[in-house]
Amino acid sequence: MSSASTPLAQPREAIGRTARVAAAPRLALLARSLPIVGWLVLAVLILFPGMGASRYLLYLGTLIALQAALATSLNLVMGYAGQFAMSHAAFYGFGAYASALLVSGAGVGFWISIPLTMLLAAVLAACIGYPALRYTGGVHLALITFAFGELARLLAANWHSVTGGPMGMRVLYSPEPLLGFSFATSRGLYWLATGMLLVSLLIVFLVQRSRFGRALVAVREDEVLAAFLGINVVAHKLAAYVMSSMMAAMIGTAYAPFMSFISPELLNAHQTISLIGVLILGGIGTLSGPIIGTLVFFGIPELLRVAQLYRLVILGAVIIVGVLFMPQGISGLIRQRLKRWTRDVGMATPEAVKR
Amino acid sequence: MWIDVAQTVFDGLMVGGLYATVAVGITLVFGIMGILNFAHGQMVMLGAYIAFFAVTAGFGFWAGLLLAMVAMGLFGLILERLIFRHTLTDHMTGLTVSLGIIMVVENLAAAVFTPDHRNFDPPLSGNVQVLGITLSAQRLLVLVLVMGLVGAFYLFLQKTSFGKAIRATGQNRTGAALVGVQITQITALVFVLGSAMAGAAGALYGSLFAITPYMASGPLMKGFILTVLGGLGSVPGVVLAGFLLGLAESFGSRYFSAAFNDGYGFILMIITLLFFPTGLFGVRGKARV
Amino acid sequence: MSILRIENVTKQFGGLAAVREVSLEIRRGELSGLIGPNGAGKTTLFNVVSGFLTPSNGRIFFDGDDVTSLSPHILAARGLVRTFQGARVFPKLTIRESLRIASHMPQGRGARRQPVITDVMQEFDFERYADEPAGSLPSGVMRELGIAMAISTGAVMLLLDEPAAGLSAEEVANLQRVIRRVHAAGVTVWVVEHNLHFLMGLVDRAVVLDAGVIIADGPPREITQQPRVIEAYLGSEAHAAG
Repeated sequence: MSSASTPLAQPREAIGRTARVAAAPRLALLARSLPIVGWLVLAVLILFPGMGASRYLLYLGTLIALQAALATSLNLVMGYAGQFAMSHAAFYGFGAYASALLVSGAGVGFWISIPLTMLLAAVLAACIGYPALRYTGGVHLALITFAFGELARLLAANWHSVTGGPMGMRVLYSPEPLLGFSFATSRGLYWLATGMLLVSLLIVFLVQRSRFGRALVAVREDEVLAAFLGINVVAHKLAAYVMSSMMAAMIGTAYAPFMSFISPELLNAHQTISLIGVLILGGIGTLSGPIIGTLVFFGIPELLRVAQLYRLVILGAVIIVGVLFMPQGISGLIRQRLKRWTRDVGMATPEAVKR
Repeated sequence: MWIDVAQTVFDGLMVGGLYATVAVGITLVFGIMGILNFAHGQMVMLGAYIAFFAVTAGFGFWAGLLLAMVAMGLFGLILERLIFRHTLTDHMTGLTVSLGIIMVVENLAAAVFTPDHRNFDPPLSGNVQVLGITLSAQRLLVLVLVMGLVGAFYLFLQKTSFGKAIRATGQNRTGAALVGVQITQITALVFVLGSAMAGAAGALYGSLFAITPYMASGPLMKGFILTVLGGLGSVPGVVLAGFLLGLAESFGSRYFSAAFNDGYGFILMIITLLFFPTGLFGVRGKARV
Repeated sequence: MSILRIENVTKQFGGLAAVREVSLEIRRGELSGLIGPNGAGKTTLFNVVSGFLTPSNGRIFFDGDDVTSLSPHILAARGLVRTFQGARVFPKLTIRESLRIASHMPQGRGARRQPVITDVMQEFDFERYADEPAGSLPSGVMRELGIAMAISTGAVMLLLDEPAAGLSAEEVANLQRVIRRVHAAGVTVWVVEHNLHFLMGLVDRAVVLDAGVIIADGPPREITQQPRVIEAYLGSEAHAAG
């Protein structure tokens, strides 16, 4: 898994330098193969529940896949562009409600409802983001997205006729079969969730390697300098925000048939804060960070049956401690450790090969 | 008919005053330290619970109010010392840390206090007649108290040497340091004052509405809206904006639609962000205290 | 042929006019300076020209087009790039990454120009620092990085804001060499500098600003003899050069 904390691909000639190294070929091999190993591990993690028979594992796996996808999409706007999008959970919920309404109310097919919902989300995100992003500093966006999230939640909780009010909305449909493959079963929904995770990863991966992604990093590091280098800062921030909100909405469409029930609490700002905590835990601005963070946060306590409330308290403590002392997260720590090993060995920077 | 209007105005001023009491802390911390403290709402919630326990333990509302202010002031001091002091240079870190604090405080509160709704009997009950209008006695008391709190806060900033030091720091941190203002003292003071105000607001909220561990978001949201409307960092702006919003909501609910109550603030905030970069009243904008 | 034309520009802050009815032209390919005592309005003028501030009055023309209220990124895209006092770089990114970001324009779709120096890395001798975080570089190298980034965007005119401030004599000499190299490649350069020594050996023409108004404009040797200029500098710390 490519874990780049600064997402710029290295020029080819840097790899040539590694030919100079004679010592410790094993460590070199380790650093070289880490991205591939990472992808393999992910593949195994994904295939494992899919091949198995345990319904619980499938349920857990679907949940984790959805959360990891959410974290990955939030990473696009928070990790790479450095913007505080407090509305992420609200778009997740929006995706669930909107697609449910389209499918149950308007008779639209599930698969069509996905792009439709994403389009609606894009329009909404553009309207919310534009007033806030014209100012430098992240405060305005944090404020307005928080406000939007709260408003959306209140709307969902109070608009009885449309959303079913605080009691939530029942979802009775399943995705129609696609290409002969049935998505109506727990296994099918699991594949849907992992599919969305892979799509999210792909999008972030492509952005990371693109001109757009590099400009995002510049915006994150120093907006003013980026502007003076010719980057349209507002346009880039808006694009990152809209893209990640669209992705959140997309993932939300899978939530509806999976849980068979949508509650306004899905849009709660606290869900977004949990996601931020997961990002900090795993490592912001890296491809593997969100997945590692999600696995650690959701997987382990779930298996150990730690009470929900205390789990959140711990996550809050993680945010505080992590931000103050360990801003690179688990993924960043691993990279640092590897860098130190290979540097001791006298090898050229592993960034050349790891990105 | 004018009785209706008068009552609506009264309600609007009371609610607006409550919002302002919460918001002054947010805007002051933001103006002086550059940190948008999302955890401010938690002080309101804890203040409400402190008042609740004081009343049910027999100490009475006034003791509860005082205790809420003192306890929250202390809590604010602890947070500032331990955590926020270290985030002065990177403001977004401060924001992120405050998110973590929300998680810790809110979920601990839910675990300890349980999510059940609590209520306590307010010190005043029944109605009073003022100029022919029937007003709830407790609401009148709250209005008087928030006016008093906000007024005292404003006077403190204007008249005392500490207050002047705070305002100086808000306008120019380096300049203030050069004339001998201890920045660390100021940041601590600002946090203590803001938190104490939030605690008081919490006790007052508790006397009117139900208390739950999750009640922080509402007041926090209003606080943010006022901070934007009033001009980030401006205390007088926030107070004015508070009354404005309170009246807007009150009249909107009465004559338009009650369900949309929270929407007014949101719309005002978006309009302000779009057209009034320094807030509705701010002329110089940021850090004007 | 003029590349930058400033027409009657005034910039007021409240009651104070930091820049007052300034008009001048910079010719294409010139290497000129902007000097003046502290508070003369030099940085304000740069801020207005580069789009950071909008003038209270007057117009600015770049390459024939009216660019008066355009934002900085549009100006940079047109080739007018400004650097900041004190070496503004991306401290956590390496030189390689920073240059990659800066060269986004020439390689993008519809690239209007190529940077005048194609291999900036080699030209500026950055190879040995290539993968260090920019924040840990020596000051002189950081200043050069700022200029290198500006060049990589395909700039045709550079506004350098006090690039030599706080540098050692050796670093200053390196910087002068870099500026001359950039200029020789065809970039118009306008340098704000407090340090008269630095400018004397570098520029062909100096514009002197005092209290927001141009008081002299000509070859450095000539203008430093002018009584008005000497008087303006005597009020503050003077590096009066002969």
